[in-house]
Amino acid sequence: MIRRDFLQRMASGGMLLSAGKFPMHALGNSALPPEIKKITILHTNDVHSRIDPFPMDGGRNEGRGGVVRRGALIDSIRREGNPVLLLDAGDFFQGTPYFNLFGGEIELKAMSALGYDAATIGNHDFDGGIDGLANQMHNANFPLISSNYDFSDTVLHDKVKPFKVFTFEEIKVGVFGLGIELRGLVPQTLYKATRYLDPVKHAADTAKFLRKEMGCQYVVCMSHLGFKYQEEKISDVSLASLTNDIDLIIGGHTHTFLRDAELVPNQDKSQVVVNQVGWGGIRLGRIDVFFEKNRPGRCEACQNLKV
Amino acid sequence: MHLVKSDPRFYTVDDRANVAAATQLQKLVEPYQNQYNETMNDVIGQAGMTLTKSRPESTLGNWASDVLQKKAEEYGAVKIHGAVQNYGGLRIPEIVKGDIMLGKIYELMPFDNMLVIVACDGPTLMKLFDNMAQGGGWPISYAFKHQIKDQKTVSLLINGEPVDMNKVYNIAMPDYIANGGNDCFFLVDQKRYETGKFIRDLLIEGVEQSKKPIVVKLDGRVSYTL
Repeated sequence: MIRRDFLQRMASGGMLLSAGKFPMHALGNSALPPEIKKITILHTNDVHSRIDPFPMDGGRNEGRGGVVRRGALIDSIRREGNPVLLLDAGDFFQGTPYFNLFGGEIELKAMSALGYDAATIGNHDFDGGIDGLANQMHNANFPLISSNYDFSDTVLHDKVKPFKVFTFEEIKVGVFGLGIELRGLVPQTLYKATRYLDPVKHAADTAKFLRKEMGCQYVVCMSHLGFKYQEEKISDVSLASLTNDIDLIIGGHTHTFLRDAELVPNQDKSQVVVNQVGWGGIRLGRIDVFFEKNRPGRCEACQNLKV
Repeated sequence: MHLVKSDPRFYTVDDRANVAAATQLQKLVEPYQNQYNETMNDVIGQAGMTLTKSRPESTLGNWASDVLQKKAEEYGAVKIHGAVQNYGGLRIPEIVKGDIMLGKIYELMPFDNMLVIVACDGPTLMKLFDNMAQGGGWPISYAFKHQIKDQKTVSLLINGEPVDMNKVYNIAMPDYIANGGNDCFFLVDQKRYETGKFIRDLLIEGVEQSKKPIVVKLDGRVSYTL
């Protein structure tokens, strides 16, 4: 009965309602029925070398952000006891003098100390040149992931992965990354022989591979394409609608602050969650993902929770 | 296991975070902060008002592009007809009224972009302003008046005159744009004059050389028409 009650509450909570009304996230795994497992995905984007909080100068963002505060917040979420996956959607470099002074060293050291599991590469992560990025990578204890930049003819050829699978007991989460078209955006002297490949094709292929071949129950795309555009240009929202097998897109590039994550139907009419958390480390995004043990022949939760 | 539900939300990172527990992280950052503080907190001038960045026209955009025009004129090699600064190249939303610290100008212009002067004939100048209009307009110096409708240029005046298709205009801009950034590929092969100056350094000079706290007026140089 407890389980039934729990699932009904989840169903009525729905994804569109604010989490505050149904504070499932406040429950540790210990409070969940044994057949339900929860994973917490935390994400940032476009932190742009914002090591310190915005200064207390009366500006609109004063006192917000900062790696120490973000670290403290992430620690408090880790103490809830659920598995945590911490991801960044690119442009961790450039924007404060920390990058001009230290070339990205403290950004990557801080992200490593915060326990980031993976990040994708934004256009400004080339601002110190592709060699600058390569030279800083020893300061990162997490992988850089890109599925649509072909680095074969560059110094990054053996340093960037196309995807990574994270395993939490019975749950496999596949994570891949997408970068934006560099031509016309980043001087070629910086990205050199990097080739930009079609993000839709590579997202579709990678997500399908992660789902079908690697057996991932959840597939996350870290994207630096941008949330949504008026003009014809591939974005997170259009990517979601043009593909299958992606459950979550954590986005970046457009510095978009969303009141609620956007839900976009994919080719199979399943909902893809598209989220982005502005810039400068002002926000930390969180997606609690709930999984249920499979039972042959029936899936009560699927029935109950169709969105 | 299969997916049942996902529940998205966000936190604002602010002083509610309990940093007392984050001493390791604080220790990691501290030496970098100390070096930062040695130079970047130097006060280099004052803002007499809060300068903000927005479209179509803004106080921060007008100030920066006017400084670039003035600095290009000081360069002296060639007559300057105007200056443009790509909107995305100004990286902070505001400079708050009061002391301006060196680090603030680094945040405004973190890139090592150089100021260059590009010789644009009339059609090239129109192309540039059409590209700017597509994005909703850019910061431009006082030389220009740019009217935009539905992301297209409806009128462009340069020093009060319509653009002469047979004339060549010398426009100061970031080398990022002159090298084809923001899809301005048509500028790559134009004749240009290199100033050899970082835009950031010119903006720093602009703050330092201002005798009074910086105050900027909007004058309708970029506008939207219905």
